Amino acid sequence: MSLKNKIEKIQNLFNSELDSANIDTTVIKELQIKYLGRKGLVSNLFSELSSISADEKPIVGQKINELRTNIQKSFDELNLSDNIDKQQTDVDYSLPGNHFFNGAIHPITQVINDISNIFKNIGFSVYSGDEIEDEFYNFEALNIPKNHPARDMQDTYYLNFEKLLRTHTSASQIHFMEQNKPPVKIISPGRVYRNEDISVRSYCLFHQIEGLFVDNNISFADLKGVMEFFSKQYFGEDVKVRFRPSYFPFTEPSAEMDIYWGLETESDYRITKGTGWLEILGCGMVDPEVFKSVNYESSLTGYAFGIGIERIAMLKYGITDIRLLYEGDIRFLRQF
Amino acid sequence: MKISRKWLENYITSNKSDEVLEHEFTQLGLECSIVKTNSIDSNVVVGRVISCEKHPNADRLKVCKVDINEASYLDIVCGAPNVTHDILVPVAKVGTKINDFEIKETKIRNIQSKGMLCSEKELGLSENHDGIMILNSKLKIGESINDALDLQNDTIFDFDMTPNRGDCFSHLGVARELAIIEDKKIKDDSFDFKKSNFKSKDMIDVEVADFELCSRYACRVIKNIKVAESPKWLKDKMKLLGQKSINNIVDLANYVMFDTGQPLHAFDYSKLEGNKIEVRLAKKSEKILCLNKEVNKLDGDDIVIADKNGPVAIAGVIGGYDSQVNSDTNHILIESAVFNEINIRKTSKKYDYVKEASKRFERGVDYSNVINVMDKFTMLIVELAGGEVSSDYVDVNNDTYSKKQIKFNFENCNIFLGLSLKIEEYKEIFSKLNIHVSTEQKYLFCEIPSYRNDLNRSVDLYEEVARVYGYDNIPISKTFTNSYKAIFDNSKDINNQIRLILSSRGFFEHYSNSLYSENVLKDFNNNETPEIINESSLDMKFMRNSLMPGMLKAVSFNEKRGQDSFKLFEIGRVHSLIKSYNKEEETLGMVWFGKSVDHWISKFEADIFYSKGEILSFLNQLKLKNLNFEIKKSDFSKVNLNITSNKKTIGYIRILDSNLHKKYKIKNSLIFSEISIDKLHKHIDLDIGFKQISQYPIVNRDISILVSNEIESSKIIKSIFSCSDILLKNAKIFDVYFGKELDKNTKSLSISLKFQSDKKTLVDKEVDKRVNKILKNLKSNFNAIQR
Repeated sequence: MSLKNKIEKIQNLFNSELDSANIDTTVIKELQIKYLGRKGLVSNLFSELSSISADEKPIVGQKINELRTNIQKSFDELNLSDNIDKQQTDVDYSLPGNHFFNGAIHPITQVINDISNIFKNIGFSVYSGDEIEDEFYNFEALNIPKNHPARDMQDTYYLNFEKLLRTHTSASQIHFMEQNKPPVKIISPGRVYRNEDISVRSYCLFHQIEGLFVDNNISFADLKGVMEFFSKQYFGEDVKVRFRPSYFPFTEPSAEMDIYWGLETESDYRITKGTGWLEILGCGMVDPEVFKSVNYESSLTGYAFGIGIERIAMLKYGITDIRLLYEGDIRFLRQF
Repeated sequence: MKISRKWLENYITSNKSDEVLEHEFTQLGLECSIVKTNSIDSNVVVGRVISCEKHPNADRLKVCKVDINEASYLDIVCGAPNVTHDILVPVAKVGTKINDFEIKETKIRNIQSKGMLCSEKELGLSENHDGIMILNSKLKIGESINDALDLQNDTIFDFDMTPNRGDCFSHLGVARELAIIEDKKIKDDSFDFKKSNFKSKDMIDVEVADFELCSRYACRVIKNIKVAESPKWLKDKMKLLGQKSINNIVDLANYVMFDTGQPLHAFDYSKLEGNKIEVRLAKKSEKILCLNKEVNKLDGDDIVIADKNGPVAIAGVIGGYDSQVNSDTNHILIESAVFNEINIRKTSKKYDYVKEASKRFERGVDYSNVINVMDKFTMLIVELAGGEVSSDYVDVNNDTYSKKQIKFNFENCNIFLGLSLKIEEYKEIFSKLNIHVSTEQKYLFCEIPSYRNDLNRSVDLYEEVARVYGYDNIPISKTFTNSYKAIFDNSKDINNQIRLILSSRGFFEHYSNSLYSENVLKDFNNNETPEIINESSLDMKFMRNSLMPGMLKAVSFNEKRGQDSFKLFEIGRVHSLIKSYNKEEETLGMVWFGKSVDHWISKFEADIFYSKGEILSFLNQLKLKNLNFEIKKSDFSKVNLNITSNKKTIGYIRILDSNLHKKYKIKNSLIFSEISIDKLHKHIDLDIGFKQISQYPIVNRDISILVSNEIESSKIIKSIFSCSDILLKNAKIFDVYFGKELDKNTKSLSISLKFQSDKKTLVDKEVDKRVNKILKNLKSNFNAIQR
C-alpha cells in the first residue's frame, strides 16, 4: 500500500472510530494515544517517510501534517464541547458570585471634586496651601491685626514654635499672590482648624474651598455672576440665590450668599431657622489692605469667596451629625 | 444682641410687620431673627378659686373649684401650699403646653382634675416656685394671661452683629438703620433736668495720663440720691436684656448703655479718696478688688481709674468693689468716657470678662455723644432717685477731634460695583446714612457721622452704597472675565487618581482627625511633631505624624460594630518637626482588615502577600517604575517591608504587632501601609514609548530547586535575572514547599521560566543552555540543588 493510501485509510479509520465511540473521556484519551501518541499511527507514518523518494517527500510529508492537524482539531473540538457541556449540567448556578470588596469615595472628597470641577471649567486653577501657617498669612496679611475683634470669630490653635493651624484657606491667597503676578484666578481646597468643642454641629477641623480672582476692573457684579453660576451648576438651574451684606476683614464689601432651600418639611424649618433661606458661602471684593500686604498695585480689583465643605455635604446628603464624617463607620461610608 | 421693637419706637416707628423688618434688617447687613416674648400658651387664663377643700386621699393635696368664665367650674387638684379660696390664679386648661409638657385631664388619687394652677416658674416669669402665682384681684376672669399681664405686645429682634458695626450695639444704632429702611429721620432726644448751685469741678479733679488711652473722660457729681430697688419697668427692661437687676442707679447705667451704646459707670463719690481721679495704665503689682469679689493683679496694659489710694475701677471692663454704689450711697460720680479699643480688648480677654461695656468699647463708641449720653443718664437718675445735679460737668479730652472726610469718586464706585447710578442717586443714599456731601466735579466730599468709626476709605463707602442700594439690586454679570495669563500649571491630580483606583478595588475612603495625644504618636515613627499650646484636651495636643492612629481607631470602631473584614484608605497631611522647621507630607494610608469565611467560594483573611500584591498592582497602574519590597528591620513592627521605587523608599507595609492589637482593641488580623504621595510623585514615569510585540512563541520551562530556608526567594529571582540575557522574559515562583521528606532547614521552590526572542523561534538547545546556566549559577550562589 502506498503511503498516500495509508494516510487516507487512517483518516477514514479515525472518522469511523470517532463516530462510533461514546463521548467519554477515557475512550477519547485512548484514541488520542492510538493516533497522536509518540508511537501512534501518525508518528509511524512520519517514520516511513524515509523510505520514499526525495521528490515525493515534501508532498507526502505535507499530507501527513494535514492528517495530524485534522485529527488534533477533532480532539480539540471534542474536549471543548465536552467541558462546556459538563459546566452546563453539573452546577448550581443560583450560588452567589465571588465576593469582591465594596469601596467608596468619601462624601467630603466628592463635594470638593464637584465644586472644584465647576470652577475649573471657568478657568480657575487649583493651588493647595499648608495647614500650618504663620500669624502673618492667617491674620495680618488678611487685614486682621492683633487684638482685632474679628480674631474672636475664629478660635485658633497655636503651636509650640510660633506658628498656628490655619483657621481658613484664605491664607493660601496670600502665598499665591506673593509668588505670582496678577491676573490670578485660583481655587484652593484644604483642611482648616478651629479650637472648638466637638459636638453634633462642630468639629475641631473642617474643609474649605477658597476662591480668588484678581485682575483689572473686576466688579461686584462679576462676583455675583460667578457665584450665581456656581449655584446653578451645583444646586440646579432653578435655584434662587440672594446676597446680603456681611463682614470679613479681608473683603470690602463682604457678602453672604444664601440659596432658597424651601420650607416643605420640619427639617427645612430647622435648618433654615424658619426663613427658607440657607447660608451657603461667604464672599466679597478683596480689601485694598490685602493687596497692600502682597505688594500688588492698588488699581487692581478682585473678589474672593470661601465655601465650607462639611456644611454643603451635610445639606446635600441630609447628614445631621458632623462627627459621622470623621468616624470611618463602614455603614456610613458604604452609602456614598 | 437683643433689641426691643417697642423700645425702638422711642426713636422711630414702622408699619412693617416683624417678619418684613427681620428680612430688611438682614438685607441691610444686620442679620437678625425674631424672638417673641409671649412664650405663655394662650390656654393659660385668669381663674378664681371658688372653693378649696382637702383631698380625701392625700394630706398635702387640695381639690379646688375654679371659675374661668366658662359654662361650668373646673375641678382641679392642686398641691401648692398657698392655694386658698377667693384668689385669682393662672389656670392652665387641658391641652395647654408648658415647656414640652401637655396638660391632660387626669385622675389624681381617684379625684378628677381638669387643669393646673401655675407657679411663676411654670409660666417662665421668674424662678419662684414656692407656690402658685396669685394675681391682682382686679383682673378679668377668663382672660388669657398674656393679655391680662400685658405680656405679648413686644417683639424682640436678636441681632448677630458683625464686629465692624460697633455703632449698632444699641437701640439708637438700630433705630438709625431702621431710618434707612423707612427713609425717615429719627426723633431727636433732649434731656432736661434741674441743676443745683454746686460745681463738679470743685469736687473732683480728673487727670488723663495719655489721650491715647482715653481720648475723652467726662464725669459729673450728683448729690443726695436715693439708691433703691428699680421700678418694675426698669426691672422688666433688665430682664429683657438678660441683665440682673442690682439697684436703680446701676440698672439705669445699663439701660442707657443698651439705649445709646455708650457704657457708663457710677462711683460712690464718698468712697473716692482725695477729690481727684486719674486715668492711667496700671502700675506693676497693683491690685483691685472687683465687683465680682475677685482680686485682680493688674499689669501695664490695663487702663485704670485710680484715686489717691490706687485703682477704683478697671476702665471699661469692671468696677471696683469698694467704690460701688449700694444702699449706703448718698453722692455719686457718674462717668461717660472713650477708652482705647485695643487696651480694653486685651484686658477683658485677660480677665475673661466679656461684658456688655467692654464689648462696646472694643468696637468703638461715639466720641461726640459722650456728654449727651451723660445728660440722659443724669435726667433718668433724677427721675428715679432724686438728687441734686451739679451745674457743670468735667470733660477732659484731647480737643483735636475733627470730623472725618472721605473723597469719593462716584464713577469709580459705579465701575467697582457694576452700577450706573447718577450723582443725585449717590447723594440720596448718603443722605440716608447722615453723610453730608459737598460736590466737586466727579468727587463727593463725604463728611462721616461721628458714630461711624468703621468708615475710613472710599471702599468703605462703596460698601455703604451697595447695602443701602441693596445687594440684590446690583446686576449680575453674565461674563466670566478670563485671561490665559491666569491659568497656572496644575500639578497632576494624583490624589484623585489614587482615590479612583483604590475605591474601585474595594477600599473605603476615610477622613480622620489630625490631632492626637502624645501616647499614640510613638507607635509608627520617631518623628517629632508640632505641639498645640492651647489645646482643649490632651487627647488632641499633637499633630499626627502618621495616618495610622486615625485609621486604626476607625478599624476598632467598625470591628466593635460587627464588620468582619474591609479595606480602608485615607489621603492626608502628615506632620513632622525638625529643629523648629515643620514639614507637611501628603500621605496615603491603607489598611486591610479582618477575615471573612462566610462566602461559599471567596474567603478572605488580611494577609501581607495579598496586600503586597495589591500595592504592586496599584502602583504599576500609576506608572511607577522599578518597584520593590525590601525586608527591613523596624523598631515599630516585627514585620516591616519597605516599598521602593528606583531604589528609593516611598513607604512601608507592616503587620500590626500584638501590642497595637491590644492598644486599639483590634482582634482580627490587620495589615497596614503608608506611602508618601510627595515621594511617589517623583517616580511616576509617564514617558511611554511603545515597544514592538514579539511575533515568536514563548518557551516555558519549570525548574524545582532545594535551598536553605533562610534564603530570601526575592534574592533567588534577582540572581536568575542577573545571570540571564534578554531572552529570559519572566521568572515566577509558582510553588513553595516544606515537607517531611525534606531536610528541616530546607525548602523547595518551583520556578517557572519564560523565554522568548523578538527575532526568531527559539529551539530547545538554545533554551536548555540557558536553563543550565541558571541552575549552575543558583548552585554556586545559594547551594541550590535541582530536584
